[in-house]
Amino acid sequence: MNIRDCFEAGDWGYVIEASILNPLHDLRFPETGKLLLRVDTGFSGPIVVTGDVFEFLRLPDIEVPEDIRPTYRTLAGAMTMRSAMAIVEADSKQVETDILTPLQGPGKLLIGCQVLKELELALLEKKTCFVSIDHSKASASSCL
Amino acid sequence: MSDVLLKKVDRKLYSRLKAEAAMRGKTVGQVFNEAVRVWLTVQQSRDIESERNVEAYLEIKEELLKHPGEYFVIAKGTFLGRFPTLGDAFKRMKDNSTTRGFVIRSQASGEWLGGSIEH
Repeated sequence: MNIRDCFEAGDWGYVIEASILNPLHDLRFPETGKLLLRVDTGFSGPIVVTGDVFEFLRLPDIEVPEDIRPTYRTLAGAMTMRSAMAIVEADSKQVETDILTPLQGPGKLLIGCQVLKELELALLEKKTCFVSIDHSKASASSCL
Repeated sequence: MSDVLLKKVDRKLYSRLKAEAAMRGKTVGQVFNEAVRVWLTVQQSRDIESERNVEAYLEIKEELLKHPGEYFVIAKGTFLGRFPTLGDAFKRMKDNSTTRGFVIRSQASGEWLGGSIEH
């Protein structure tokens, strides 16, 4: 396993750096630098952002119809999400994915299993690292 | 016509409006009225377009499940097609000179167990 970039955010838990792109409107968040997304292996979905980020990227212009908004079962009950397609850029990869924000409440910045599966990551002590893996030898997976 | 006091107006925007209005021999009030009429017309047409998009979506809704992984695009009240990549879907929208509509890929709901939801 070849370890490349690593990220650490203290009490915030495991994080990675990424950017979110809306190519239709030629928008990127953040406009410069990278965003810290918390790695959440308990979340089976793609990426969750705050309502502000969702608005900034003009994702309401292309969000899915109300009747097919995804719903996630949580310990506190069902949570309905607004959803729109965009691209997440992490570890020099671009992944086409749904970007979610809660229909109610402010939302969080996190990356779930649906996108984590597209990346090669290792959690090493308090760090999250992008790695290169020899797939003939690797078998570990911690996602839902 | 009546006099209206507007609060929280962007000072720079107001200065530009005043200058542009003067260049065209108009008062700020006249230009404001024109701008408001345009804005209201745009909002009205957007609402109509949104309703037409929903109608178009309902017509093709069952097709979504038959083509998982493909991107369905509906804009300007019309189904513009289904595409293998998001890039293709956005390109079709750009070719159609639109930046609003539905871009839909069939997706499942799921679980959110513990983790960040508690923090």
